[in-house]
Amino acid sequence: MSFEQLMQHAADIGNKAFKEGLEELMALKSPSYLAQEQPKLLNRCYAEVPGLFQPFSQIPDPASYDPAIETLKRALAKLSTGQDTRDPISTNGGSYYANPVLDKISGSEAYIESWTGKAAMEFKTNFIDPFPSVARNQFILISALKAALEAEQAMWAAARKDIDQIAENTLKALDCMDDCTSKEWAVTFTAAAAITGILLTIPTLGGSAALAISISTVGAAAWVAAALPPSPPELTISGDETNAVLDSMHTAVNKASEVISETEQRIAKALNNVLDAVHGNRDYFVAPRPALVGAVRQTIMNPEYMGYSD
Amino acid sequence: MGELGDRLDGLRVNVRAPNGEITAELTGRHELRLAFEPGYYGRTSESELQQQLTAVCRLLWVARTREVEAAVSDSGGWTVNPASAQAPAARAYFQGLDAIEAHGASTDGSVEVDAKQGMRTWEVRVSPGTLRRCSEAEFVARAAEAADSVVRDQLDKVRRLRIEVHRPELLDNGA
Repeated sequence: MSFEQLMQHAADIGNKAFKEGLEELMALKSPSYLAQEQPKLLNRCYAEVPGLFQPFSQIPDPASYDPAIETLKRALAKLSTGQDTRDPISTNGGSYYANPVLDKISGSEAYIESWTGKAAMEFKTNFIDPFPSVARNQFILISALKAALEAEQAMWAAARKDIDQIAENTLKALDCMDDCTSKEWAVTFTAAAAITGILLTIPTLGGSAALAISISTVGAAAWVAAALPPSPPELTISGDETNAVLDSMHTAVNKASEVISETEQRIAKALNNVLDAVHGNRDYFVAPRPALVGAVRQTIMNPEYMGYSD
Repeated sequence: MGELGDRLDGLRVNVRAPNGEITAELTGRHELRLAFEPGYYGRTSESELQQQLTAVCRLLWVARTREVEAAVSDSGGWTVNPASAQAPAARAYFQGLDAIEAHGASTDGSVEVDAKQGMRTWEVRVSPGTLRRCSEAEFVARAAEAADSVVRDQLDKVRRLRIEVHRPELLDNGA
């Protein structure tokens, strides 16, 4: 089976369940009861079953996240300062060669240090000096965004497998109903655990200034150590009677939805924490606008801008 | 039909009677084909034949059960052990299975089969005069009818049991 055939599997489940369920009703040898129960069985097999699987057939293609992830990788390559060229968050992350263009900012200090103007001195203090940390923090921020996308990608890939497993095991349980003794198939919900290695490594970034300052020096190891994988939840698809099998399938589908929803919330929470950290410590991520930007040819040599050089 | 369903429907098991004179092949759940060693059908008696066929039924049931469990296991599933069933419905189902007595017969009534205790206990009866009346090929056909009939009766009773255990409200309402 494969995810692309999910709705076909749902139709197969409906057909098989209807056949089995009808034979159970016919074994009662009661025409009036058959007439009463058959419409309910029809509805369950041909409306409820496809209806349960239909939303899952629309879940995103994990490959659709690749272009955005690649874009962020290119951003990481531009922001790599050489302090630590490894992706600090994603377990899928690689190393990014330090971008020599960034060194030119620090190198520009020599050009400006002999100038006397206020803006020239502030440019060094506010822009050149913190630049490595700001670039480093942006590097961390982008890697956090990339990790979130990778987490989404991993979650949907696992969710596809999970729902496919539910459909497949339901069909197996229905296939075995005429072989009397009860059989069971386990369904493991892997969507939550799939992101563990990726998402829990996103730092909370911290609200205090001290923690925010240290952001550029915290290595990946500290965040990875926090990533303890939860044991994935498990249910069984089983039942001696058609409705009981469909009930166990229904419970499993609900659990799959619940796991996806909880996992989405975890990703959202991590991203909100990152966003709060950026909003709360804007200076650590964005250098202040240099006052020199306001200078024009006639004013550039004024004391509030560059002043004079020896 | 899924892959497991196809495999179970196509399962083929072969056994040989304890006296070595009869082989039996069961295809799927219903199709029985007997074959006798040359000359055996002409020299056996109804009483010996029913004794040997009773053993053949038991051996076929064991062989098929093993194959089904292997197929289920290969598909990632497992068979629930009756002793470990905890839920009242599961226990009631296993008790109900044990209590089922299925009966089957050939269309002419010459071969009858009873299966009890969830098909663990078998009894085959061949009516007097059958061997004289039926050719070997005719007997093989009668035996196949009786086997098909007992399996269908068992399945019918299991389906009713499923409803009795899991949807008792249907029976309370007079079904």
